[in-house]
Amino acid sequence: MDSPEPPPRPPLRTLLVRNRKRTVLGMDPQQVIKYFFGLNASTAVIVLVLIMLFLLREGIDFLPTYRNELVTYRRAGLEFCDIIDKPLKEHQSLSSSLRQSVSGSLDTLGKTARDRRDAAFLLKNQAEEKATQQRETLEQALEQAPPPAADKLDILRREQQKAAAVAAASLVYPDLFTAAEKQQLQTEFAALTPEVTDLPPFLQTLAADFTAKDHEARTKFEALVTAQEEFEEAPEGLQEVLDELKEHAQETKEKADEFHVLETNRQRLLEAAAKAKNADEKASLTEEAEASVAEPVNLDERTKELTARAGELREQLENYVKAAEKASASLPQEAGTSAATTMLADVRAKLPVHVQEMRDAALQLDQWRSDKPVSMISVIAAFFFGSQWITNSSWQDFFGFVPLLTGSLVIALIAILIATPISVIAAIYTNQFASEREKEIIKPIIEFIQAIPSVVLGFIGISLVGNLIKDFSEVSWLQWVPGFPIQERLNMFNAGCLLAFMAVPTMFSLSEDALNNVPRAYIDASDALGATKLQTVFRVIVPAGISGILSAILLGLGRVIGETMVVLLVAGNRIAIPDFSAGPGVIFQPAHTLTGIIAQELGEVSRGSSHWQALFMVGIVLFAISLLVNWCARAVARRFEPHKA
Amino acid sequence: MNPVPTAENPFAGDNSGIQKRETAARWALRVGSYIVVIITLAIMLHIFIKGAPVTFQSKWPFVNTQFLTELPSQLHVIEDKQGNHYETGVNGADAIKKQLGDNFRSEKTIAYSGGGILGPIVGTALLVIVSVGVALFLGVACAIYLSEYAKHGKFLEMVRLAILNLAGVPSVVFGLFGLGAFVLTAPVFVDVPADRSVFAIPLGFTTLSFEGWDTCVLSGGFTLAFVILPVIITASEQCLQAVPQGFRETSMALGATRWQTIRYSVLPFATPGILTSSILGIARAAGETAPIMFTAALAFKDKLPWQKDLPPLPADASIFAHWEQSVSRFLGIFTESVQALPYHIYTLAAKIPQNEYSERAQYGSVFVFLVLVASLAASSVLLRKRLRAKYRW
Amino acid sequence: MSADSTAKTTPPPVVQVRDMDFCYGTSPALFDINLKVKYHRVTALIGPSGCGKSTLLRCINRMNDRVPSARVTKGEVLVKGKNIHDADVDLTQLRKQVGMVFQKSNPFPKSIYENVAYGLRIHGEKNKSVLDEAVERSLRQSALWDELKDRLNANALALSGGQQQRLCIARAIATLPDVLLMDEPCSALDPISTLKIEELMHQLAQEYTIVIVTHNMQQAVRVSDYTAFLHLGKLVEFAPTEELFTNPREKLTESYLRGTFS
Repeated sequence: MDSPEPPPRPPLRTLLVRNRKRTVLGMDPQQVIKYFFGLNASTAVIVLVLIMLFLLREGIDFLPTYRNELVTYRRAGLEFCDIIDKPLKEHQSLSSSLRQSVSGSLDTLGKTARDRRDAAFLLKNQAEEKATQQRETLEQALEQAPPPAADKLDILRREQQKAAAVAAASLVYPDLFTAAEKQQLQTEFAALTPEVTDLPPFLQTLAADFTAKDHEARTKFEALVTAQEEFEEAPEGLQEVLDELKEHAQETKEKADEFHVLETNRQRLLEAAAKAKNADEKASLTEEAEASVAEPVNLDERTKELTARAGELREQLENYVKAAEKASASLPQEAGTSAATTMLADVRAKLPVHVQEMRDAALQLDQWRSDKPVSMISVIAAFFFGSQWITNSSWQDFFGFVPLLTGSLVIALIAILIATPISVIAAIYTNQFASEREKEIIKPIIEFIQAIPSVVLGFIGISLVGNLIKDFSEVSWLQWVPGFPIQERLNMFNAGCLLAFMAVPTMFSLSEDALNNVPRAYIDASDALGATKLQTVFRVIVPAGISGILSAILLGLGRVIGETMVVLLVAGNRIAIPDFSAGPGVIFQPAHTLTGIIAQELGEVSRGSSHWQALFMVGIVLFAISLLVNWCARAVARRFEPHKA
Repeated sequence: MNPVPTAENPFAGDNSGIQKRETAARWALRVGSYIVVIITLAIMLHIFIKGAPVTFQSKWPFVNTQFLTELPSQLHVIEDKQGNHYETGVNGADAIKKQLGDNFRSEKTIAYSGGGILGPIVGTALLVIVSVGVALFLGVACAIYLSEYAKHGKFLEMVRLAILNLAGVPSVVFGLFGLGAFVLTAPVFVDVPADRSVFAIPLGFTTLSFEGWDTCVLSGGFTLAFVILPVIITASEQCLQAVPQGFRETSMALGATRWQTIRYSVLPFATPGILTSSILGIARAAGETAPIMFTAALAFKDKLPWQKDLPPLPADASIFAHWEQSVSRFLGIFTESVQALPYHIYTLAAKIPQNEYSERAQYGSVFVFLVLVASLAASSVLLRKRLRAKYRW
Repeated sequence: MSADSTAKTTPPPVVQVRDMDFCYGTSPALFDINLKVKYHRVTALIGPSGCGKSTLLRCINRMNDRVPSARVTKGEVLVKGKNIHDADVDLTQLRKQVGMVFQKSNPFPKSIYENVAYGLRIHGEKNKSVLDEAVERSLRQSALWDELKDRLNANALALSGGQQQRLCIARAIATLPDVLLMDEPCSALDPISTLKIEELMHQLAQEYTIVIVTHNMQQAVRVSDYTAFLHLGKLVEFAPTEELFTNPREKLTESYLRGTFS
């Protein structure tokens, strides 16, 4: 297909200067491309704004909703009951301390007898457990409707006897018993059969021994025992009245809630009816709306019934206070053991405070008004400074932020205190001292930590670290450590350790960068003055890199506070302000956190409820904290950065 | 004795004390650094020792295919009267019970611990595909703007600040955002908008209703995309910056437009780097739990996303005859909620008691998950090293 | 103190380099250097870039030790009569007595006071009054005292370039070194600051022995008593400055001075 003449080539010049301006929507395509990329670049900004918007959309209604709830709480009289109920809770803890003190004292006399009894019964159970199979078979045979042949039963009996003997022989008898007693126990256990229901004689003796000793002890500490019993029974009258009032208040609240739900429903239906185009539809909606009418509750009327009984309540309260004071007066100085005495002294110190609190509560009863308005500020305060986070309660939900915040902060503090020295040390060593070969080992491994998903670390916390810490806390020569031995495997310290581990790579890399950025000239100058390596590092390099290190620590803190899965799995999830009176041992208590509560509870609440909104509020606070930490880190980095200026 | 400077040796000095101190300090620092290294290795070793036996076996094909290819299910533990324990799935339980007959003593079930982890693996893969797709598109475009177009100014400042802050937002807050934005508000085409729709735009043949995507792969993937967006942007920008300025100048000097320059003289050299770095984003997306908790993940599902109760396509027809249906079924995969590995591990760790029977599933999943994520991260690092050696301008 | 004792007798050369070869790894940098630096005189090292002047300077306080593969392969360097590579030489003592000022001023990001006191502090001086005294003396000697005495706690990085360089000199002389090494101290400064530093050098020469590296021949003429010309790692000529500039013995020197250098 040879064409006779090739088509004329366009002159090069025309090709080059060809006007190639086409326009898209009146714009130069280059401009369009530029705007396209610019738009994409602004996604980061847009997403940030959207995060804020969506959090606010779901969360901002929390304050009015919570306010309504608090208004109902007050107007239905629940608050009235809580005035007495809250301080009365202290009675339980005091009472339990007293009980412990009593049992500690009684133990001084009765402990051996009790231990011997308990040990013997435990052994009996073990012996029976070991021979269960034969025993069960025998029991089944005995229960069969036509009893099996006697010889068959005999075989079974013998087998059971044999198993019981073997079991009795295999037991480890503690040294609470003398050799003769051990022998006797073994004989008795070997003789255990399902047909004999009476306790073997020696066990009976042991039980009787204990009863006698216990009686003796009770006589010896009579004053303490009576005082404790009196105190325990003291609030009965008060509690009775209070329970009645609480029931009444709760009923009021339920009615009010029901009315509220029906009323809103009616309003919605009426609105829909107003909008409906179709006459039939309109009629049916209106009808439905009318059906949803509920009896309005006269809250004032019902709360009056409550306050009417204030006198009765006060009277009972006075009785309680008197009884408590009497018990307090009759508490002896000494208890059986030093621990019990300390506990006793503690109770004696706390009792007057408690009594005073109860008296104050009585005064508050008078001042309480059901129609006192709930101000927005008090709602905000109730959220940010509330010390209770109680949800799904049959009584009243409280959304107090403090327990979660303290949990988060204590854990973050532990994590930062552990992670900072380790990562700064590692950064200094790697940057200044390590050989190239060491650097090639240390750096990738520490950076690898970043790739470990947090849920895996959380799992490690449950399956490995928790047990390690618990075992460690039971080592006898470590008992001087406050909080040891620990009660819970999952606690703030455990979570703090894992979070520290997570924060190390961030803090290490950023600190190392900061040290790397220290100008070479500083090192030259220091060396030329005869400084040793160590002097140069700690007097020149680290101070010069301090801004970077501080900002690394802050960014690590941001990471630690925002981390969810580890704290959700490992922190123990107890929603309460940690008991700081335990001293440094407080770190071994479980706690809940800002992030953990969202992850745990959001899946289970219905959209738009106050609980849902409260969780979004927590999200808003978290978001604000993360922005704040970021801002601080930047400010610090800029503030102390003279050598870059 | 302290040697002091003398006429013979003006530079005498006792540095043995200093030397000792230096050595001691050096060792203290060294020990401090190696503590982290040792802890990391110890944790890895622990997971390997406990998890590898679940995943591997001594017989051919050496990998426990059952664990990797079955869906999670309940584990039944049956005890006979001799005290022997049999671990089995739902179907095996009845058979064993029948076989044991009178010898049967007790049975207990442990949720999630039987079967394998195919469901979670598939779910995580789907989530990663969606999130990386979205994040790469947005992230690379953003990086191109920052590196090639942006001039110093308010806008640039704002974008950089936003990226920094986005990187610091807690992942659970992303979860809340995803729930509010994608699950409850994102736009869909429907015939009749639902009650909860924020607002609806009628388009004639259909309605664009802002009523959300519900919990599904798409919601979770988009949420994750924003979690990893800062990582992708930063990495991509570094790769673009690494292309020498000269390449651009040469291209511009030849009269190419800005876009042509980017298209032909910058992107080809930056792409390998961007892709390797984005593997790191994949690792991060696969590892996050909190963002998918409310947006995509289910604790338990006994079907894979494409196993739905739909009438089968007519067997005789070719796939092209029903392409519409095929496509909509394929897309349907992304509107299903799924199990995901990290959430599965969370369920295993938090929702069932720790005992010898749950350990198999727990350590097995953790091991597989860690191997996946770690090999992704490691390959990213290695590839980047390779690339850096290859493209040294 | 050591300065006094040396001053009494007729002093031997403070720094003496004998037949020294110096290598970075396998590549030799200096060949067969012989140099005697006279007591309380300013000695200038001149030569084209890369001729090894800075390396030679850094040999005198063993700053080259920090480069892992760098070492003296032949000959020796004596400071105050002692071979500084001997085993019983304490490096910190050597550097305390051989101060150094760098091309680019490099004060630490600390206060002016702390900068000057740094040298004394790292050598274990804790007495506040001794430190105060040393800081004042050093700042006076470097002609900074009047300018800065009211703001000793200000950050040193807030000073101007020339002030910073003089501060570095003050920092170097705070430990009362015998020798002060200066590595192109004025190359990054404006003419006025340069002038001030040159004046300072004249004064300092009363108390210290100065070795200065410079690429500025006028400066060598202005400040130095002796000049050494290096070329390609070899010491071509070493003579009193006047003699070397007016009447160079070597052809190479002459062509370098005339600027007809290839």
